[in-house]
Amino acid sequence: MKAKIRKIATFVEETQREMDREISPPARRAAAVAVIENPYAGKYVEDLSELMAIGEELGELLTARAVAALGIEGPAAESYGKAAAVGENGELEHAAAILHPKLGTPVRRVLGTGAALIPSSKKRGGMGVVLDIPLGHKDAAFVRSHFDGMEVRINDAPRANEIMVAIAVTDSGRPLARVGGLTKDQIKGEDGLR
Amino acid sequence: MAEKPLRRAAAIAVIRNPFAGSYVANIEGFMEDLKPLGLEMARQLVAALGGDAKAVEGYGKGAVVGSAGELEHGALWHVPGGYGMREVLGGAKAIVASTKKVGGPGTRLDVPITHINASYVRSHFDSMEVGVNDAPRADELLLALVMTTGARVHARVGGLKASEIKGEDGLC
Repeated sequence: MKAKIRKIATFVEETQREMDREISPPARRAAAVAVIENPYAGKYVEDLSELMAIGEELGELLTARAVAALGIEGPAAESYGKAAAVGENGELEHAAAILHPKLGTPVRRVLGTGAALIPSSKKRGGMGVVLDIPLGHKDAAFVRSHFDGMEVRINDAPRANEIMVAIAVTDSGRPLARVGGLTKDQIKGEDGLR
Repeated sequence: MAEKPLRRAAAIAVIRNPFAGSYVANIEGFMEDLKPLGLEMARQLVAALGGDAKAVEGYGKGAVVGSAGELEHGALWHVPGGYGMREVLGGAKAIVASTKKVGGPGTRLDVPITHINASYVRSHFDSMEVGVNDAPRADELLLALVMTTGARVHARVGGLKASEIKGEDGLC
């Protein structure tokens, strides 16, 4: 089953100055968000495989949109994250069905790599709910300069029978990162952690 | 009916941001100063969930920086927040899921949650929305820790189960 998409919104944030210091090149991140119909809204359904398939479809579509919004090739992306908000007639578990079983593989295919866990969050909410997409380095989860999050919001979503699905990618870590820890040039890239 | 009610608790501290208002290059030392707060908040969370640290299965952390601060000030919470929870839980192995942002009073924050010993346990991927109506003010930091007692209610999307954790690398 293909996702019944009502709209796709793409957000790009480009930080050029932070605490009045120039960020050069600017720190950039993009999120692509799809608003889809929830096929299971209003009833308990045991087998959520339709949403898992939709997750696979959106993993490809939204990652490609986000990377395109940054104007970079997939492998140039540095960190990533995913999140979903389920409208009031759905279950929290519907977000899990989209995000966890099948969405990650196409994300990694578009980006070329991605040994690290894709950080995620999920919630239920009404139209205009704020959704935070957690961010982490795509090849090593412990890279401290890339721990971050990106907020997205769509004023008319999710409606009661809808789900908002979001994927974010960046081409950089936080602006002015300086709290120590593992840096990206130290990544060994063996286990997705360090 | 859920077999076992899921409980989630959040501890939130609103503190003054010592670096608000101007660029300060060296801020790392503040992480050490925050450790007692991290420990105290972690203890309060365990108490709120019934007092038994062994009942805690998921955790996460987050920060909101007031408008006179930098996003980077929120990153100061990674080490002390994680330290406090690991101390109280007796050595959790998984990386602590986190998020951060700059925002005004009343900002909502989705604190991501994962299993404390294995990041890939699918039933425990979750998040909890937190916020305080009058915080953070411009020169404040809102710091949050979250703990939970189990899987999502009606978790049924497969993947690694808590009962299958090997517990070697914090992942599986």
